[in-house]
Amino acid sequence: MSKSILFVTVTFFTSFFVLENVVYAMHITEGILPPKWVFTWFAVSLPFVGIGTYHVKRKKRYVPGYLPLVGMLGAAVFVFSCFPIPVIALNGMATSHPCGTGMSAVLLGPFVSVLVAAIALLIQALFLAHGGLTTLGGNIFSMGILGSFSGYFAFKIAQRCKLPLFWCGFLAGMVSDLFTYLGTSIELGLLVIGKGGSFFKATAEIFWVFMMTSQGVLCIVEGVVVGFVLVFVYKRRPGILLNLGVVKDDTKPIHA
Amino acid sequence: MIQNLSMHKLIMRNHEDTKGTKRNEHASSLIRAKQKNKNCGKLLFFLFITFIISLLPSAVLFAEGPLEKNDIPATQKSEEEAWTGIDVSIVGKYAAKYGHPPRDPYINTDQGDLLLFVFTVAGVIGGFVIGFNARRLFYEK
Repeated sequence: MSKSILFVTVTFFTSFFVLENVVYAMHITEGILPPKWVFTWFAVSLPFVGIGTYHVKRKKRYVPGYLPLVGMLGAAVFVFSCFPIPVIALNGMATSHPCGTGMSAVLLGPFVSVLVAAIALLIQALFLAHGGLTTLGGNIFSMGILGSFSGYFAFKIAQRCKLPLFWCGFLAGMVSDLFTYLGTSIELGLLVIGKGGSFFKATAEIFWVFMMTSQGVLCIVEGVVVGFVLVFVYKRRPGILLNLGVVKDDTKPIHA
Repeated sequence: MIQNLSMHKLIMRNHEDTKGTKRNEHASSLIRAKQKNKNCGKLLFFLFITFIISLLPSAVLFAEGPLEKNDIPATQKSEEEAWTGIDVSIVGKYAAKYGHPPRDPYINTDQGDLLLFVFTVAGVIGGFVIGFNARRLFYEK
């Protein structure tokens, strides 16, 4: 099974190397969102952050080792989402970054994952010139809310289909990445409203450009990373996943 | 004999009392240490917030205003350059196209090697936190 994973990954990468060049992430930079959207995205995101804080307070009481896990995954989301990975894709050489919210959503739950993403995005906006303070709400919506919930539900659906843990993690990572960029595309697409443009056309165009550039490759890489992380945790400390309710006793790590 | 027995009981009780007191002392010292750590954490958090608040006004005052339309190529030019982050090239390009060009961040660390320094520090701290917690979770018994 692992050989076939390696083969698919290598083939995918090679196909992108061979294809013709043309290139153009997810963080919306300062000044892009007009005030009405700044307030809207903050209003949408803040309740999720609040519920996430409540969940951390509640879960740390009855899940052993929950706080170190939150710390570790928070740092991982922070590093993942500002880690520029060079990829050669359809339109040239570019760098892009994974999101990490799929992994945190599966392990910590979607609401805590939103909180973790919000903290990571705030630090990036403050110190790394990455994202922005006025666009923080929008970035929390795309990376935190859409990324976490889509990854979490993808994982649960894959589990219902009785897929092995690796593939459940793979789908969670990949879907969360796709939805994060879909969220960014929606936020940018909304800017055309009132300017005579079509929202759906603009959103589809931006999302298509994202996927045809490095992000299409990176979402698969992120899926593979999340899959391996879950299998590692399951093999090393299955108790963590069992305590969190991520897996049941009869879960198969990789083999179908 | 009876006297010896009562003496022995008395000694034992004293010994247990001392043991209990020691245990209590140990527990109270643990609580004190925990409280001290909590206070230390609160102080660090307070200092961090103060630092950020002190940074904000100066950053807002000195940040450049929105880029003019002539300056938009700053983001579009980078599109032709190799290894540009797609955060800038796609998001910036479409935002400019829809009339909302990006502006400089309020706290602009993208100046010379400053960004490299900040990224390195962030990577080191992030790596330390991941490693420290991973050790606690996966390797310590």
